[in-house]
Amino acid sequence: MRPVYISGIGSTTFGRHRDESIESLATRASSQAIVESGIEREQLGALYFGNFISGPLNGKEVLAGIVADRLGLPGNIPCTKVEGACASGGIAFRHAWLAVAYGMCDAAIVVGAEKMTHASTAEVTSALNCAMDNELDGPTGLTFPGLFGLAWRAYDQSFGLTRDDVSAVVIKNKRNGLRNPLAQMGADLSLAEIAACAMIADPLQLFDCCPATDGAAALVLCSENLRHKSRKQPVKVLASVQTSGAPQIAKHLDLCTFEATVRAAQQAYLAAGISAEQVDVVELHDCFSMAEIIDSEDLGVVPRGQGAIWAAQGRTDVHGDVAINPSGGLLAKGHPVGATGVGQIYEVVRQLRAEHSNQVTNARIGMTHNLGGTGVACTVNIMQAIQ
Amino acid sequence: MIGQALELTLFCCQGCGALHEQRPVVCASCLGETFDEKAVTGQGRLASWTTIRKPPLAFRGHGQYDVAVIDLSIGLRVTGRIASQSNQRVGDRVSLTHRIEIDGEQINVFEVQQT
Repeated sequence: MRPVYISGIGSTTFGRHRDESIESLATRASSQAIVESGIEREQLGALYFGNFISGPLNGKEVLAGIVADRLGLPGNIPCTKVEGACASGGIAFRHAWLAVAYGMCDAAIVVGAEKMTHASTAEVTSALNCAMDNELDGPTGLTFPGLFGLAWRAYDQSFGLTRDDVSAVVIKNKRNGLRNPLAQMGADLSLAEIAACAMIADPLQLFDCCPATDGAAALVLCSENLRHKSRKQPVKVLASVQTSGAPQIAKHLDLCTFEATVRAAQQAYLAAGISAEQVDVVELHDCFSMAEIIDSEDLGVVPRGQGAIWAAQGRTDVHGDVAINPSGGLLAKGHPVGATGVGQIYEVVRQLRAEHSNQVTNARIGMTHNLGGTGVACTVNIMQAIQ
Repeated sequence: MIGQALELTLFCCQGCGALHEQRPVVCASCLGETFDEKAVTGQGRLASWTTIRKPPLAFRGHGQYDVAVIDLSIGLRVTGRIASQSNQRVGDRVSLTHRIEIDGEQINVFEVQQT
């Protein structure tokens, strides 16, 4: 295995793109990444496309080959669409990393994209429910907000958790979103405003939930011999790990943790040769406020039972002990599902280049965490700034 | 105390004894392919519950409903519906009281036992 670098990044804004197709969003982000990498298109040996629900929501598939054609990539390279629910983008990244790390090619591009805002809430909910075990959990009428409503009550039983505790996460991420020009819905919210919004899946309320989003993000990965071509400082990938977990709620014997995340984080720290304390900035999968609390503990960057408390104490702020979701996370930046895992890495690369609009001081080590379904698929990546 | 709990039919692997909520193609514990039906009491404890107020398309028109995770006394965790009460808590004893049919699927509905 050889070192892999991220040498080019691109992204659309996350939000509403009513007049632009998913192919166009993906092509635009990819073009930015290729140009920034300085790598000739003929040197790209593979394209991986992260996407989850372009079939049910847009009636479009084979997007990998379509976008490669739009970009004028060589016609003989493998172009693969990758699906792993909300972890689709993270898994696509890992495949591109594998292709370069193990010498299949010297450079590869990964792009994630989704287009969701044209659909109704019920249509989006139904499409997202494709990520559930629809022989066991689906027939009960469970939804993904419902999963985290279940987790909230179980967590409250184990550790104690109030509305205001959870709101600390919402306030932080929405505020961070205000400082990210790519974010869909940053906001300056009060505890009272959060407590007053509509109930979605008790005790989860509207501001606890990420929005439906359109958007795309892309990255070019390369080996050592090509990184000098980049117009920006490349970032080194120290670890890229993918794990699986239980696909059914009932197989999660502890509703306050996702085993796939715990295992992925442990493997990633081992591969990177670092400990959780060395991570400066984390972009994690806060599809719901409750998810950030669980994820931050599963990743080991916050002690068990302290996820909400650390947020309330400012310890996960941009200038806290460990910065969590300075982009605004899924809650504020948005969640164009297939693009999310790629967009998280885009954000961390900008942090490690010290060029982020919500910059973490002296960020040297960054981590991303992308979780799919009921914890059935997970990726964790660790990246390092190059001096 | 509410009435007698209904029974659930589980599927017990003839090879290793693992219990399954639905008849599997193969046993995920031992890859066995033969199973015995086993009737068990629909009693257990409430592990968690939530009220779904924004349902997916297939459930639109059902109004809001409560989904629960139940730890059966036999030692298996299952999902189902619960007829919620305002004062219920995680850990409460529950019983399977009836079933509802949605799109041809029989859904178990539990109720908290009043003591």
